[in-house]
Order: sequence, then structure tokens, then C-alpha cells
Amino acid sequence: MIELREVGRTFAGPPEVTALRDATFGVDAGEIVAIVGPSGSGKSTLLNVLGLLDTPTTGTYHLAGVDTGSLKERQRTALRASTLGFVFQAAHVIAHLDCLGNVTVPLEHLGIPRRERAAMAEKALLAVGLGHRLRARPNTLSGGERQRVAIARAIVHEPKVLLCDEPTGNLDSENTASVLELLESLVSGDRAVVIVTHESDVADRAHRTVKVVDGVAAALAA
Amino acid sequence: MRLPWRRKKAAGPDPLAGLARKVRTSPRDALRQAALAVKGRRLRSSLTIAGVALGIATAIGTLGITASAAGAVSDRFDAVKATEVTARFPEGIKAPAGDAADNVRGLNGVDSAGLSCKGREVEAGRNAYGRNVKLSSSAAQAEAMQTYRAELTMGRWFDAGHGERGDAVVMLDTAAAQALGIKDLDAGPMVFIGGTPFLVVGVFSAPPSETRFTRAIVFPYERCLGSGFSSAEVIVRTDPGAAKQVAKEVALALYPQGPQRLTVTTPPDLETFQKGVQSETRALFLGLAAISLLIAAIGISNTTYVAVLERKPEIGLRRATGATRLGITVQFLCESGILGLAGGLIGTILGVDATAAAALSKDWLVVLDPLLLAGGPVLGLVVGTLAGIYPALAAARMHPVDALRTA
Repeated sequence: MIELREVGRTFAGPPEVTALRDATFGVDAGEIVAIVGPSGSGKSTLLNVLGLLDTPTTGTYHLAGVDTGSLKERQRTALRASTLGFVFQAAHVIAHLDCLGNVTVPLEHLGIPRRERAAMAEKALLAVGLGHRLRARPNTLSGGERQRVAIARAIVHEPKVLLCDEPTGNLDSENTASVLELLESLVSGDRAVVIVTHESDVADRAHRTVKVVDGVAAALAA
Repeated sequence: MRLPWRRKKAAGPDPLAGLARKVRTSPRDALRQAALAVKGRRLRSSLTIAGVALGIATAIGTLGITASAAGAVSDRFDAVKATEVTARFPEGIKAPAGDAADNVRGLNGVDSAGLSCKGREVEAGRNAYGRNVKLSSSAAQAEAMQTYRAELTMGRWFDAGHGERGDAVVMLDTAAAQALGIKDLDAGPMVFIGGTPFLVVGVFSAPPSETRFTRAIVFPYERCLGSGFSSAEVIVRTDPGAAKQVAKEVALALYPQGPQRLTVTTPPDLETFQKGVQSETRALFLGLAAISLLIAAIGISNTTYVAVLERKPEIGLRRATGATRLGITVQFLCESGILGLAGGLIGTILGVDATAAAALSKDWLVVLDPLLLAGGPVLGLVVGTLAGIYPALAAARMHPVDALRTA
């Protein structure tokens, strides 16, 4: 599903900063992979590269069999929108939209007809246990519920890879446990979940761990 | 300027065939999202809309009120001046006999006409020895004074006999009567000029449009034929619309031996007058309206830009989930356009109301160009959209990662 070979990312200076070097690892469908490391180690850079939000300066990155280095910006956007789902530390729910409205956002940009969108969003919200709060405004939701909306938004278009950046960073232990359970339930035969985290108990639940230290990513055995 | 969504056309086979959907945001979705965003920020949207509404209302109101005022001014002008023709004798030609006015009265389209002339300033008193007051003097037929719209307040007008017999009679305007201390004519008050007594037969209020009867002592017209008087003229009141034709004929009727020597004054061309008033006042007020619109545009631009900064995470999220730079640009342009359009609609209503209120309170006819009514909302839309260009481009240029970093 994800295949990185000697991927590096250097930010032009001055001073020139190499945030990531020689990252080589893969993620298969059905896997949960945790990316761990101290802050400033290059985790976020790696996630941005994986999420096609940033372009590596060296190496190759294949996503769902496509060499992403050869793509134009619009094609990268299309590939990102179709195959990836994002969950961020902050839920980033849009305040003026209700839950259904927030979850349909990714579908709007994929040209999916309006009638189908509502059904897909409802299904996604049901999957995260928010079937009873379809029309609720974000300001009436708890932190855990907001993150569930964000997860529903990330899976509504049935992406192949779910990229989560500290998805439980803002949550208490109870909500953390239920969100992790939810993420585990979302892994399937044709979907992988990548979680960037610095919390060891989150990393412990992953099938495999990729450790990033000083920009060097090393895949550890499960 | 390089637009953020400009790109070269992709060539070759699509590597994403069958894997990824094409990303595009339909205009309808952009519009719907923009409307929801405007609706979701009620207070801020309302204030911005109010700013635009004020600008548009000023524009519509000033245009409407100036048009109505110009219409009203020319209406009033029409009523008084458009039917007035004068023919003046140059210095050196003897004033015509009083019956020359009959020839003018016989012309088609003439309602009334009369002769008058100006005299020197005189010193007049209530008796031969006492204090004198300075008054201007003139001589006129009663018809001339009536044609000028002088109104009798006491006594009576001159009659034909006064002139023919050379009676020592005068009329005074109300200001002259007051200066001489004449309160009523019951006792047959006399006025002394150079020791000669004159009987005051009538007092009138001077017409506002002509100065020769203001604070004046008026003699019967026949005095014009003697010395000390000059600037004889005939004043003609015509039927509506007849002024131009009468003006052509009046000189010949009055002075056949040399009509070209008379100076004939006709009412100014009304259309030119009206356009003059409109264009001058319009230019001034349109300037004011343009300034208020500019302020409104800056308001929209500012609000939208602040919204872009506040909604960085939303922009990042939309970009991450497939919104193109063009899609983001269109969404924010739609938002500012909606604000402008709403402001334009409300401003048009306010402007029309203001025009109607101003015009009706003055009893003017409400003059509103229908084009203006359609133009108000369109102008608001244009102003809003233009004002949104910079914030929309700023939003589109934002990198999703930078945008998402703002928690």
C-alpha cells in the first residue's frame, strides 16, 4: 500500500535543514503502523510526505502502486483526496457546519452527487457511533465526539490509507481508548492505518512501529 | 501576477486511471459552502453587509434625490419663468405709448402684458418739510405689475384714467409704505416728492422675481414718456408652451419701426437647465457615493481576509481532502460576493426609501431610474467580488500543511 525507498526531505535554507533522510519502509493493507519518536525528530515531515502534502527531495514514494514523484500537483491532489484520509490532533471541525456537513466536505471535492453524499456521511457517522448526532453543531460536541466526527470525515470516501497525526493527543484516557478501538476497527483487508504518536501505549497497539530519530526512520519489528 | 492555480496542461496517459477520482468543486457546492459560511458568522456578516448597504444606499439615494430635486427645480422654474417673455427698449429710444401694449396683448398665446420703466431714486416724505426716505421709482401699467405677479394688499390698481389725465397718484410696495409709515389708506395719505403731493391709491407686495418694484414708489406708466425715466420694457405672460412663438413676434408688435433694436428675453431652455442641475449635483454626490462604496469594499476585503486567517484550519483541511487552489479561490470569492450582493439589495431598498421620503416630504415627484434599481444589487455584487480577490488569492496560496498547523 505504501512503499518508501530512501526518502529524504531537505528544506532549503539558510540554514539548510534535513528533516528526514533515507526513510525506507512499507505499510501493507490490514496493518496498523505507528510512527514514533521525540518531538522535532521528523515525524510530522514524514507524515506530510506520506500524506502527499509535501514532496520528498530524494528517494521514491509509491502510494497504492503509483509513483508519486511523477505526478503533477492536481494529480497529487486527486490521489490524496481519493486514497487518503486524515485525522489530526485538533479535530479541525468546521464550526458553521453540523456533523453531516463536516463529514461531507471531502466528498464535495470528489464530484460525488449530493444525494449520495448524505447517505455516505450518515454511514460514516454511524460507523463512529455518532448516528444520533447527525445534525449536531460542533460546539455542542465533547472533545471525543469531535474527534469521532474527524474520523468519520477521514473514512467517508473509503480511503485505502488512514493517516492519523497524534489522534488522541487532545483526549483523556477514556476517550483515547475508545478512539483507538475505533481506529483498530477501521483496519480491513484493503485499508491500512498509520498513526503518528509519541504516546507509548498508543504505539503498543500497532502491528508495527517505525521509529524516527533525528530524521532517520527505522522500521522496528512488531 | 501569477495566479495560484495556473498550471500547464498534463500530457500523456493518466497514471491515476481507475484509482483516483478527478478532483473538482462544482460552482454550486462552492456557492452553498459560501452561503453556509456567511450564515454561520451572523454578526460579522451583518456588519459587513451593513457597510455595503450604506454605500449602495448613499449611491442610490443621492442619485434618486438629485434626480427628483432637479425635476422639482425645473418644475418650479417651469411654473414661473417658462411663460415669461420680456422685450426691452435700449437707451435712446423713447418709451412707446401705453396703447402699444394692446398690440402685444392681441398676439396669439399672450395671457397678459404690460409696460413699465425705471425712474431715478427719489426722496419722498409724508409732508413737504419733514423727514424724507429714499425710494427707488418706476412707472408701470397696472397690467405690467400684475403680470410680474405683484399682489395688491391695500387700495386699488391704477386705472387708464390716472395716466390719461396725468393724475398725481402713486402706488407703493409694502416696504416703501412701511418706510413712509403708511399703515392704511382710509385717510387718503399723501406722499410729497420735491414738494409735490401725490395721492397713494394702492399698496402692493413686490414680486420676488423682479427688483424694479422692490421698496419702490410707482407712477402711472404715462410718466415714462417724460424725462427721468428709462429702460422701458414690456412684460408678457404667455400661455404654457407659447413663450418661444410670442418671443418671435413681440418686438414687431411693440415697435414695428425697428423690432431688431429691442432686446427680447425668453425663458432658458428647460432641458438644458434640468440637465445642468442634474449633472452638476450628480457629479458631486456620485463622488461621495464612490467614496462610501470604496470604504465598504475595504470593509469586505478586511472581513474576508480576517476570515481567511481565522479559517486556516478549514482551508488546510479542504486542501488536504481534495479542494484545489481554484476551488478555494472560488469559495472565498463567493463569500465576499454574497456579502456584497446582500448589501447591494438592502442598500437599494434603503436608497429608494430615502429618495421617496426626501422627495415626498418636499412634495416632489419621485424620480428613480429603473436601471438604478437593478444596478444597486449588481454594483454590490461587483464591489463584493472585487474586494474578495485579494483574500481569496491569499487563501488559495496557503499551503495545506501550514494551514493545518494552526490548531
